[in-house]
Amino acid sequence: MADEDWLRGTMARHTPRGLERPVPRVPWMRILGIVALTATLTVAAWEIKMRAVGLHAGDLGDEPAGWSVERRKVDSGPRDSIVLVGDSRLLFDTDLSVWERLVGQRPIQLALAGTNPRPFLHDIAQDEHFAGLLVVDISETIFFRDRVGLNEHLLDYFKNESPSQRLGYRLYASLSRYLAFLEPNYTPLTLLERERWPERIDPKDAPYYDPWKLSETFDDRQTAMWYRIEEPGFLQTHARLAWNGFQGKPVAPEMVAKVVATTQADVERIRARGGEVVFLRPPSRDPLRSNEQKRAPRALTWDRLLRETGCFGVHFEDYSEMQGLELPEYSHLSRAEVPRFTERYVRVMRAHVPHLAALARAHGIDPGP
Amino acid sequence: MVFNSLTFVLFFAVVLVLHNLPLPWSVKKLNLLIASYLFYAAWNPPFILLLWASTVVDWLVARQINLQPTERRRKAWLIVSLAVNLGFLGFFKYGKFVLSNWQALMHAIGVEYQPPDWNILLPVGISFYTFHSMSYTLDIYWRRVEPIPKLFDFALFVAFFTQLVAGPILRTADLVPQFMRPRRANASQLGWGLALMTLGLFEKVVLADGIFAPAADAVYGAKDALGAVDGWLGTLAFSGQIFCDFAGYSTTAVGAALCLGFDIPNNFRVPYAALGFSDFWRRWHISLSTWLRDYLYIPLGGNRRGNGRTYVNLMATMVIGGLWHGANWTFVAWGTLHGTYLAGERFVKARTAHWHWPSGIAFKLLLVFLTYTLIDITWVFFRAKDFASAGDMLGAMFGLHPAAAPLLPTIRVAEVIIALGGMLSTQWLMRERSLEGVVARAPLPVIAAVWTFMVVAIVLTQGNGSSFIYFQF
Repeated sequence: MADEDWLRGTMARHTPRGLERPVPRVPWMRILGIVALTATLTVAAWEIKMRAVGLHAGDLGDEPAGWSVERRKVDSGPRDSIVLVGDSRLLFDTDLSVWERLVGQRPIQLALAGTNPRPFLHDIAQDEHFAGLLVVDISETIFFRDRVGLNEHLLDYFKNESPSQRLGYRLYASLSRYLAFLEPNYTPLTLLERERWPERIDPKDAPYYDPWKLSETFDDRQTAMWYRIEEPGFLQTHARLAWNGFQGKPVAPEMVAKVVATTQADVERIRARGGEVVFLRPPSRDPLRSNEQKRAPRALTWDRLLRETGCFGVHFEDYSEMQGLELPEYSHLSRAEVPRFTERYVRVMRAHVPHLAALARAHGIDPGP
Repeated sequence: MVFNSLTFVLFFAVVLVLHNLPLPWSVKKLNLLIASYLFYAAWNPPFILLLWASTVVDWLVARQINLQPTERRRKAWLIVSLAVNLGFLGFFKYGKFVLSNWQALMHAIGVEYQPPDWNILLPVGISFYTFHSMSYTLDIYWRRVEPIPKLFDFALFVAFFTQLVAGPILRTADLVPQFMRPRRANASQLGWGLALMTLGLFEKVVLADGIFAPAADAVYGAKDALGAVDGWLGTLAFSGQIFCDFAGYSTTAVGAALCLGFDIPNNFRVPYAALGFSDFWRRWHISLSTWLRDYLYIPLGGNRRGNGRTYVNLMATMVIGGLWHGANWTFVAWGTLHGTYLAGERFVKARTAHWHWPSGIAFKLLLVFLTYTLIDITWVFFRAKDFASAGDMLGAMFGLHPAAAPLLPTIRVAEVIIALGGMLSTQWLMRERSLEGVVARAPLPVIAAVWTFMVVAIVLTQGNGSSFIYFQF
């Protein structure tokens, strides 16, 4: 009754602005049925086309929310966990199952394509829960610079991720297991932008020359090179072209000094808690490698980093068993090489890093000599 | 949660099913209230406490205002409501701004003051729901409505998820009467509601995020000097982005409410087809401009206290409207520019009232073009992060760097021109028409084809679930 009185009083004084919205007189349910059918058929046709291109259902993509799932494992898992930070080389070139077989623990993969690992090294160094082994991937031209790169805002995202974003990722990942077309590199707009158009800007800056799809991502962010890049052909040639030979300015000695100092501080912080840091330099080959050497000579960067931090490091050039690996686009290993390379570098680390040897023994694995 | 997310698709499907079950109306309303709180908490659960505080305070204060025998005591209770709402808004939204300006002021007079760190997250949509809730106590104070009998209905009015975080900003009389009696969409309302949601998401996902945002972000994020073509393209792209983002949200909100059987008013009416600035503000963010008119401009005296005071009121309203958008002097500049435009238009109209202006299409088109161009200038201040960047952008647009290298690749230029051309011509054609009228006259295969195109484009573009621009306000 009170409601009705209020309603009469209010309606007498007001003409509400939005009440009784007109609805076009058309057979909406019939149209809805037609739309549902035609939209489903069109999307299905696109899905078939994308599978023909070589996309796979089950490729989860490398989403910020997927990275955040892994980052949370650092805090929810054991203190002595193994964490990998780095750029695309550690991301593509590591087989997590091989790690698990050799030391009894599956590492947490936090490496990010096109991204300087230093902010993430710093983030782990600040995390008081972590007292395990941190493997840091060094691509000198990325590590010894100030710019973060592609995932500059990822730590902010991680810290402020909403429950809605977490649930959204779970839904997205569930759909990705069945649908191949959910691949940001192959949306119609992206494909249109990556055509070779007559250009008003320097053609090398055009979207055509951006890196395109290079990898596939599975559970635990296990990532591997996309098989189409491994095959000789247009996509492989384009992938090689996109690196533009890793050309650029040489790394300045002042930058090296600054980076080594900040890295050293982070390493010491992790060591103070009983943790350890190991560096890894995965392989690359000419023409990239010679440009990398010119821009960031090993003696100036890698050697100095190891010397001043006192950390152990595995550089692919130092081990005969890490030579001659297949790098289809010069920068990352082919899928078949990844378990071999992982096994080789983990064995070396296990032999030199007491933390890993102890971990292996704790899991009943003989760490060898 | 944002409308353009898989989480919302699941959420809305559940809400829709629950709302159509044979349950008592009170249970359905409870479902909607819980759903609305979940919708808000899905961003940051603790901030739901602010929403509750704002709701409870305004409901209690409104009752107190109504009970007071004297105007003085009514006003005292109104001040309590305004202090709480504006206090929340001030603390979360303007705290850092006030402190940094205070620091600058102190520095200017030779006092070194170091303000405390102010790393406080802005609760999403706080500007919307505080205005929403405040309008109720103001309406009670001005005796426009009686106190709502049940806290439950008021809570649902404040929190109703469709327009909770980015409007339209509703009034008590718009929505609360709809909660008093059972409402459920019929088949036509459901179909039209879904079509509106599709249109809104198409604007957001495909046009705003897929086409306009990359060009605007590239231009406004450029580190080197820009040429006039890139400067204008970036700003025009932003004009498209902000419209498609915000109108897209509002259209989705209207559609979602309609699917549940509720009517909420339109927030946009083809604003880039406006013939002048007062016409623009009758078409752009209508719920905010009418809110500012009814709760600020008119109480300040409106145009009833002479010409000079009218100009002052106009300017004050637009400056506050600018500041409502964000805690930055660039937003004040944006509001001031709009205030100046409105005042200038008023002045010219008054001085030329006896003139016989042409009424042909060419003259109208010229006016639309002039209005849109001047509105674009204001968007520079809205989009740029500071005055230096805004100055650089205006310099670029007006040709100060003729030797600058081009920035946007050909395909982005083509995308912006085609999408913007389509958007502006559609707005022009829709100037004197309603969407409902156009759809009602369209052949069935055309409606089905356009709707299918939008659905497929949304699904294939996917988007990254980015927030709507106006959430930050």
